[in-house]
Amino acid sequence: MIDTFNGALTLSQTFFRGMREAPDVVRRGLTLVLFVGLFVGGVQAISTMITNSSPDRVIADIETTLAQSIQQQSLTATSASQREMVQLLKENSAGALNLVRAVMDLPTPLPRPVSVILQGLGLMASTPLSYLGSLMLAVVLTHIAAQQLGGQGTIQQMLGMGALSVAPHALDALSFIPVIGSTLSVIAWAWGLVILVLSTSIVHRLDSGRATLAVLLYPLIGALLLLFGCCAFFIFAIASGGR
Amino acid sequence: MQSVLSLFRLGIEGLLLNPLAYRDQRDSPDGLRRGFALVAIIGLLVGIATLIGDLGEYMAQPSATVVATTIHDGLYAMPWFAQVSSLDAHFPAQFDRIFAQVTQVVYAMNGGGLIGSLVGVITTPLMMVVSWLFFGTIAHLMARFLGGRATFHQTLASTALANSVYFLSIIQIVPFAQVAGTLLLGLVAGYMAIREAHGLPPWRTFWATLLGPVILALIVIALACVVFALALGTLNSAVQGGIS
Repeated sequence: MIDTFNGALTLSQTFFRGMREAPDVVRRGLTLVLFVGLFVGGVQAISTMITNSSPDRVIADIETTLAQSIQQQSLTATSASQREMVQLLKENSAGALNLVRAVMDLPTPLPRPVSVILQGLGLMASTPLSYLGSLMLAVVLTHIAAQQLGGQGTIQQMLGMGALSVAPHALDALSFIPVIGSTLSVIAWAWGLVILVLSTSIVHRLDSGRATLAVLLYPLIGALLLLFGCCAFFIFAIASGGR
Repeated sequence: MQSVLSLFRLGIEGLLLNPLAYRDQRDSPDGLRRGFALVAIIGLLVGIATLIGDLGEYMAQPSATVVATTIHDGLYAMPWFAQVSSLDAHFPAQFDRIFAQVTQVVYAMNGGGLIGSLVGVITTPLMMVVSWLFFGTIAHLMARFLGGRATFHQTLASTALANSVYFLSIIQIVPFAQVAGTLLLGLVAGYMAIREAHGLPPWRTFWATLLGPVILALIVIALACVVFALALGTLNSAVQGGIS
């Protein structure tokens, strides 16, 4: 497992070629996803359990976020109706926090610490499947595009080797650290993208340009369609408002 | 016990997309019987796991009725409520009516709670067997139309193995756990099953695999639209009833 993890992170071409020919390529890939997912999920679960163990801390976090949001909205409010809305938010924020506190203080059949532990376990168990869900989408779209571009690999090879792109996401375990956490997640995502391109290139025996195109083709088409959809919606909304 | 263990091993090989397992399933004389048993057992396990997980969630959360009452009382206690009520004397009654409708929609979307999960122990294996037969039949017709060679028996035996990806759904035994990725992995496993059963080239296999799920998705979307329209209509009539 450690060899698979290291081979993926160091982008070793010899390792990638060896894995492509391995009969247990899917097993190795999915095992990597399972381990990275359990590791990240475990750390995030502990972090969440510490935060959720004290309702006062949760309320304080919500209060800070709410205050920042109201502050921001009051700075950007230009019209009278917007200022009225900000005033309404200010007047009701204490009541909203009381409501959240009342819901959090409601009794549960199991003691609160057990509930918090169960929620953490749920998060830990869900993380490998969450990675698998994203991975499947990326692998299926990339495989279809690679086949259209003349690729020769099988879906098992693509799934097993595409799973290597999850390896850098071990960095997501540090995502609870403010500022640095999100930066590390972006690095993990970019690193994973490079691994996916290399995997596609080796599985389908494509040059790096075509492999990059295979990885990005459908996400780009999706983004363009979304952009056109939004533009069409805004034009429609403006035209309807003008009548 | 031995046959259950061998079924479990077969399911794991199916989940890991082992082509040998799919070929073995296609060529086995009792492939269909084994496939049916595999689908039914996975469905039963998923149903029981969901029930246990939901029971854990139920024990770890306050009652939905108490949460609704607390939210209702909390909203009543907020300054905006008093302001609007002072302008319109009918507002509290209208608010109660709308709140009751919204709560009912939320309860309905929750899937019936523990009773729903208990019913799920029976309906999950049934639904899995029905969807396996539906997918297998459509995929077989499409594959034969595109030049496939397998018999109906062989197609069903292979596609039953594709259902082994739902082993992953057993994770729902952990309260609050969410399942993801099984739909696409199931499609990939279905693709493997059709390819190994019929020996079709990649693109023909792709289309033979996709037609069944597309038809099913269209049916589900149509049903969801009907349910959404009904829910919206109910909510709308409640709001209008409250205003008038």
